[in-house]
Amino acid sequence: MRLSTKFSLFNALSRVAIVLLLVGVLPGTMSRLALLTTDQRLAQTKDKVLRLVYRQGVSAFIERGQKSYGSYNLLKEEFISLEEIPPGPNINVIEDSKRAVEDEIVTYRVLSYSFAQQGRHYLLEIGRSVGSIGETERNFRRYAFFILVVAVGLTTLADLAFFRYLVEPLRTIIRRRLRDVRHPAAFNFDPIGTSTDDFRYLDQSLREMMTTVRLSFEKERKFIADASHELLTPLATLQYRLDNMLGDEALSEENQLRVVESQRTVYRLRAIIKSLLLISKIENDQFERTDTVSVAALVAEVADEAQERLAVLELRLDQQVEPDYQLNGANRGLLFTLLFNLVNNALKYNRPGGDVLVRGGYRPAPDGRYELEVRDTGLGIASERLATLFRRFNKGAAADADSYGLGLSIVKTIAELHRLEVEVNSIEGLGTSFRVVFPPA
Amino acid sequence: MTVLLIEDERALAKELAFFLHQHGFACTVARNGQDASQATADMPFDFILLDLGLPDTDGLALLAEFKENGLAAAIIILTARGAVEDRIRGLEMGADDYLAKPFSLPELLARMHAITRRRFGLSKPLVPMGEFELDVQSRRVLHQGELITLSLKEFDVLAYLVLNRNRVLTRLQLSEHIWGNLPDTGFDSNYIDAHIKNLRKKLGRFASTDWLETVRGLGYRATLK
Repeated sequence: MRLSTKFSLFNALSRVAIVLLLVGVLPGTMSRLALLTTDQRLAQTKDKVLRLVYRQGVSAFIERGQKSYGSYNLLKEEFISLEEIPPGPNINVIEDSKRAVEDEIVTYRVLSYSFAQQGRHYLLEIGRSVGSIGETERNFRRYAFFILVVAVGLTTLADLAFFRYLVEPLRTIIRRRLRDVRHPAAFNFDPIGTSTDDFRYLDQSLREMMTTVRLSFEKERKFIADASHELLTPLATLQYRLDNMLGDEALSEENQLRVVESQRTVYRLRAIIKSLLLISKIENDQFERTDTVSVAALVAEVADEAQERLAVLELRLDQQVEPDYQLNGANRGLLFTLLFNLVNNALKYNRPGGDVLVRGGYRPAPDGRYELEVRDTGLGIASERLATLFRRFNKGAAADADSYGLGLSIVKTIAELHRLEVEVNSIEGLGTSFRVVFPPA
Repeated sequence: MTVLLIEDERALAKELAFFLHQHGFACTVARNGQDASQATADMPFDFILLDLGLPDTDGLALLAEFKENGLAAAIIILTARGAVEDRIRGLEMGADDYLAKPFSLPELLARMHAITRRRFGLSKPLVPMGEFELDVQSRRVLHQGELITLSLKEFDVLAYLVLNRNRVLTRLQLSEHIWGNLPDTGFDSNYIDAHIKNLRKKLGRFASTDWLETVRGLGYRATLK
């Protein structure tokens, strides 16, 4: 999972957790808040009433001949009552209590307060209906929730934007330094602009490593060129000398045979050096891959080249490439070598009068990739040898003196260069099947 | 014919010169670019065999110099550098052929003969071969004017033996000539035996093929006058 995805997920989950937490805590807090506000309001009303009483006397409320005063508002949400009471202990409480109002019982939050005025004792009660408190509470809750959602949304967006800005240099590093950079020749050494020290350090370290890798590739390239010259030139001298010796009519028959034997040895040495250099050159990316290769055409070309050998060995080769497949960004010469090596092995290790099938086609779903199979009706390969088949100098018991055990290493190296997979199946005594699997389209 | 061999490896040059001398070429050896320029100024050559890796100059630069000076010689590039780009550049710059070291000496001879035919034209395009005639240009074998059908590889084997007449060619040399362009998967010399067998069968219907000899343990030889 990408860093930014992880961060976004964490960010979203943490916000959800906060919202859930608040939604759990909010109702209790809100009702408590609503109650406190109500109590405060009741106390303020009490103070106002008391100020009136002190200023204008109780008679402003309780008319002459009356014992008490009571007043409701229209919806019976609030009431104030004042009545004369016998002397007793001071009362100053706020509590819920039920009151009969006209023909219904309403629950009020009631402030009760007793006071003395001109030698008489009075009880002041101010009530607010619990229903209207609930309304206040619901309003509180609505506004709080709305503010919460907006805050969470805004901070989430701000965090994401900032995070994107913050990790942009990292994304540039990945894109420029790592993605689709398969070879030192394609390295891009431009420094990445960032004010974050960590990224700057990371980029610098990567560039240093890339420099080291490129240097060692260049050294290898030079070594390959040197090896080509320094190893092949003395071999050429030796070969020419042997060619000349063979042309010498004075040479005894016995010595002529020795020369032919030496010629074989020189040839063998040469072929091994050339094969190893070929593998190194492929691994060192010294082959251009700019061709578009048709598998059917390649098979036809290899089959054509194998015609003479097929005739000599009395083998049949069947081509079944349907449908065709076009591989882009390939090196035609190398792919020819790959297929030729496989077909040549199928000829070499076949039984007299046997068959070679070269088949191309798509694999059944869900795999669906294109594959090219070279199947023979030959000796087969012992299962314990299959695992090490592509290793260098791995020769089977059936291999002849002309085999160096490098053909399949070359196949593997060329396949890897083209991002192809090579699979092998074999049944001893029945034959072997090599499958070259192409990358999905 | 005269050959200028430009090659800095002393031992290698010696063997090549010896071989060319044996085949009737007058061979001059130059070990560096300066000697080569001097030699071409001194006398005209029919062939220049040019090694690309010279101590004092780049072989391709030397090639450019030869072309600039309008040398008539046929130029064959010899190099251990097998890179295709070098090959293409060399040919583009006017070289007549290209051989990657190490090549076999009969191969060099065959290429030189091919260039001679191409450039100068042979007075007799048909090469006599016993009672047969070999038409190298159009790749045909005739018996008293009648065409004998051979496969591509059979013709290659025969022509190579005839061009290197009276000289034993080993199975390895023949294999390399025929499949030299193919990856080194190990040449199977049995194919050569099969081709020779077929050649004798096809040609034998018309006349004796005694001149196509098997040299026991070594290979084959076309013994021709």
